[in-house]
Amino acid sequence: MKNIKHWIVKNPDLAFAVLLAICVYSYFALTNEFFATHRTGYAIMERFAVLGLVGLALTLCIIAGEIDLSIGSNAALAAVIVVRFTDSLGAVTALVIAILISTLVGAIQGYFIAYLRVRAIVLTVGTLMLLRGVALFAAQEKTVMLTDFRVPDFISTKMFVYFSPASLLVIAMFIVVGLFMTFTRYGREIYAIGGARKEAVAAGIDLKRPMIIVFAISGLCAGLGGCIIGLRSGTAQALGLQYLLLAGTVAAFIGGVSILGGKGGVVGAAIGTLTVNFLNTGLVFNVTPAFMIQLYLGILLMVVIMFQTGSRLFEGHERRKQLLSDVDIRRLDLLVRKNAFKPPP
Amino acid sequence: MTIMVIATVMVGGNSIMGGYGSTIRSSLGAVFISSVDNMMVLHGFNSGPRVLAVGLMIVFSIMVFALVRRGSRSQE
Repeated sequence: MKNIKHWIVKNPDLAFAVLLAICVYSYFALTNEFFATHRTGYAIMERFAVLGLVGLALTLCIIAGEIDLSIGSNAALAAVIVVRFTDSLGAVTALVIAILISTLVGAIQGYFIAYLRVRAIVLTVGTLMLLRGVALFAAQEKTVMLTDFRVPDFISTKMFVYFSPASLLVIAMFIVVGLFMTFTRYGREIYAIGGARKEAVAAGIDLKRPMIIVFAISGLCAGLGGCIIGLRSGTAQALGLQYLLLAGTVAAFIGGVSILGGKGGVVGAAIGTLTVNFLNTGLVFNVTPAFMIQLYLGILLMVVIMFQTGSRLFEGHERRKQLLSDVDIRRLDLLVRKNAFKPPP
Repeated sequence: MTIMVIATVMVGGNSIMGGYGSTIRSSLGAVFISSVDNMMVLHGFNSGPRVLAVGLMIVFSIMVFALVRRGSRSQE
């Protein structure tokens, strides 16, 4: 019990995200009898496969104090490539090629951001258009389609009641990235350049390495997400998947990542994405119109941001109080000593 | 649409961090992008090469501006 309390005090944002996820889930589970079934669980996990990847990528970027706007274009490029080459080369080869290309694109972006010392938002606006153009080229400005539908069937096979191969792969990805961020030096460097970049650089971190790693992982996640969408539906459009960027950002923020960088984590990204998916799926179950879903999502985001601001203010207040009382205690000591010291007459 | 607006501001060479740039730069960026795009339409290019060219121009101009600015800072 004490451990739990300690954990909550240490990670208030993450604890609030967990609480929010439980609240949303239990609300829909109580109001709708079909919500807490394993079929709905499977559907939620299927959505989690794509949105979770994008949320993960954006969480990493925001932790590093940057944002990757090109994520939707990168996903569309990967989707077009994988769908176009699956028929001729086989699904596995096409998947590897598509993911390699999007990872490479991400790494190159990271290199240039660190080399030119521009903000990522500046460069990724450019690559957003650029990759869109490349995707249009790759698709020859048409909607590409699969002819062999065994691959889409395989991707949506049910495994262990709740999962499909796609969502299992994504969960494995989450675990690997989470371990990487927590236990390796490179992961800590990413936190360092997000939280206090000048200090990190002054302490001897080369900006290039963490930047390349962050954007390579972001590209990898975007590519994998695009491949899953493309292979699951069997079609891909060069101009699609623009919604991924905003949806992923919302998921990342609900998961408790701070826009100022250096705070947040992979667990938060997973929980944020799950909360968004609970809300989306639950509202669809209750036959809510699409614009109302956006409205509820906006309210959820506002609640999270208000909580974060409140907890920052509270933390600052507490710290100031602590500091003042420390000063008082020290002065008290001095006063006592002063009174105890009686100069000889 | 929003993305295109941000792109024009970037191509004009304004700083995203603030404190540097002007409205004339942004409008010149807008004129530049739209004139190149329009020219490519008149030469009969499809949408793929057009988007690609605009993207390349944005990336290129961002790089040039960043390098120029870095050079001027190092001379101080």
